[in-house]
Amino acid sequence: METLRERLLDWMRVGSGFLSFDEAARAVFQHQFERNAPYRAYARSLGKTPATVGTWQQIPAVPTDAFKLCDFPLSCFPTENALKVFRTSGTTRDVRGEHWMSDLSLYETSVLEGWQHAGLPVPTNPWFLSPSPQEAPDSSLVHMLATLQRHHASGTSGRWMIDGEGRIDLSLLANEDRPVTLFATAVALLRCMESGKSLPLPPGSWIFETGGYKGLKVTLEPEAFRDQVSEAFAVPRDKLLNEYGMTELSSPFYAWSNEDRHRGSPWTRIRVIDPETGLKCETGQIGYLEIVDLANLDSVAAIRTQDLAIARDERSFTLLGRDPRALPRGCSRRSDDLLSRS
Amino acid sequence: MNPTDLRIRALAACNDLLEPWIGPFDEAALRSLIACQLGSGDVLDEWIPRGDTRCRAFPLSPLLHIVSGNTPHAAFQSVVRGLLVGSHNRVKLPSSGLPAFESWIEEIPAGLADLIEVRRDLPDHWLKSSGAVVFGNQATLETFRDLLPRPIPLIEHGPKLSIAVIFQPDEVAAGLVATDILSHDQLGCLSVQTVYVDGTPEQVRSFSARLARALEMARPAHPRGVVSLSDSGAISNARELARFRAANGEDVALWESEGNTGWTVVYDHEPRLRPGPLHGFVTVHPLPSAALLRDCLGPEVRHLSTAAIHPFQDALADRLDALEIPRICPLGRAQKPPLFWHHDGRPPLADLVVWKDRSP
Repeated sequence: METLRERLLDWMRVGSGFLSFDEAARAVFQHQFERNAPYRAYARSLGKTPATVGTWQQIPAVPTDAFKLCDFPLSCFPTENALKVFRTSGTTRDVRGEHWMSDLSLYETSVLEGWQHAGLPVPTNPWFLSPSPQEAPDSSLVHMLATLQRHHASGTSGRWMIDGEGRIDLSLLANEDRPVTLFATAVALLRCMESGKSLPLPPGSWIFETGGYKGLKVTLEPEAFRDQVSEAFAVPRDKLLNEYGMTELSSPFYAWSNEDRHRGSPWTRIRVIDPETGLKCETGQIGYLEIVDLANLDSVAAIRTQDLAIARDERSFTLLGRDPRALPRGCSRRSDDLLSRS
Repeated sequence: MNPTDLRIRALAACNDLLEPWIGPFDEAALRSLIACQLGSGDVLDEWIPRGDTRCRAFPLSPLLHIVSGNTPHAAFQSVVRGLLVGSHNRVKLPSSGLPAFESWIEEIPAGLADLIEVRRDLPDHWLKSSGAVVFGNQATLETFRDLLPRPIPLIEHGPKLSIAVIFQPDEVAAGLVATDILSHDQLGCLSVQTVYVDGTPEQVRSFSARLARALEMARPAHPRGVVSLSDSGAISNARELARFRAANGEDVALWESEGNTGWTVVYDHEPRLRPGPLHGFVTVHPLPSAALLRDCLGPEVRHLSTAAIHPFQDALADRLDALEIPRICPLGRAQKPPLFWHHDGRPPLADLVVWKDRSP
């Protein structure tokens, strides 16, 4: 009998296996309710069980911070059987969120099929302003980039331009004369520009950019940042692709810089919640983004992010990021709730 | 009548407007404050014999005040102190303003009005003041450390938090601590964010439930200020984490307002002190033994401003010695410091003057 994982893979690849998103979502929720004890306990405390959840909208979302509670791993299998664990970024003193994987087939299929669904150009000549998979084995982002390289440019090597000490070296890229795809975090791009190492890329190149500005002394508006990147790397503004993803998810969302919304794959859904009431926002209302990602079979499909957004439809949203008013102010100490991704 | 007496008289004339922000006072109290702080009530106006020399205190003037928008207390207290010593006060308000303070400025007597300038921007020449008092978060402090030319005296009041310690967890305590939590929507450094209760886990849980009822009853009398989406989001996130831990068998419990984030109580057996999301969110923990207190509460202890205790007895206050808290006060008074208090352990007036001597 075909396992749920196999059915999901078929569904993601060829669209067969489930009649509707709701059918798949209910199956994934039942799977996770039965196997993921911490999630089951939480869902029960909210009165949510497979018997009471009829649609994806009713699946309870866990806050990303719950992935940091290492006594309660949000995993559908014993973590000692994990093939991989992805961890959120942070220093050795920080508590890092952990996303356990028993198998990478759904994660990698989601990356590759999602790329195709989004209609993105095939990155046949990729360069990575990132540490290599060997240097960052627990980074979900680096694994995603390596998956894309393996699939689309398997003959390439030596393309990882940040070493284990965080040093940036673009000397090989400087010799490139064919159009490239430069994959980078926003932080790495900024560091590159600030240190004077940015260089004009060959005509026809484009840039994949992801992540926020955590850890930087300088806070830049995304628009100003992209203007700088466009100029520093000689890449047209509309050839900057922003990826929205996080360690706790398996599926990315994409928006070109001239688009007003990030779009997800058919196996994802989004909803925007008013945090004051916990209710779903009205059309056009700003709230907190929740994502249902059915490729997250081994953990929890429904994730509550700490980003503000406006829902555009069931699979797309306008990302507003963190509320600037959330910056600590006044003389009172308050909790810090930064979203992180490695 | 010397200039200091004139300023004292003018401040006392504003008693009704100032009392909510700096506590009850009269002319005698202001004179006494100067005398206590500077050693003599006349030392701002004349040369006073002191041992083998004569000395006189001169105010830092002009004195720059950078005040934050979370509560007006700091602005009132800082400026009144500056006026008392005779500084010319330059007050930089937050860009959103500070209505209560600005109302007072509109009605201030002429003798004091000449000593105050108020703006929402920061002209360059204000940075060339003789001293500065800065209230704000770490980023604000760092900004002004960079902006202000050395070596002008900089008096910093960075982000702090306060706690309540309850040795007698009764109904009275619940009502008093609710006031300490909800006043000014919990946005001040004197706002109680965490409550420690001396008792068994069952007693502490029981007090948490009592506190939840007290907060529910008190909330209407303490309206919330502007609560941003992120403020609500931080509260909602903290609630869900507590619910998650409780559902998974940790010794944690949650009480919350329905349909909004107006108030929240989280009972948590783990006593570590952590700043919360504010706006009516409080955690309640069993009080660790005196020997373990500092270690159990963790590194956040160094940011403590006030502990409000119940009942208010020196012997009980002494039990908190290990925490080295600058101020211990009765429960219900956390956000109402008296005129003579040492904010963050600093002298209220002595920091605002320089001394000159005429020695034989």
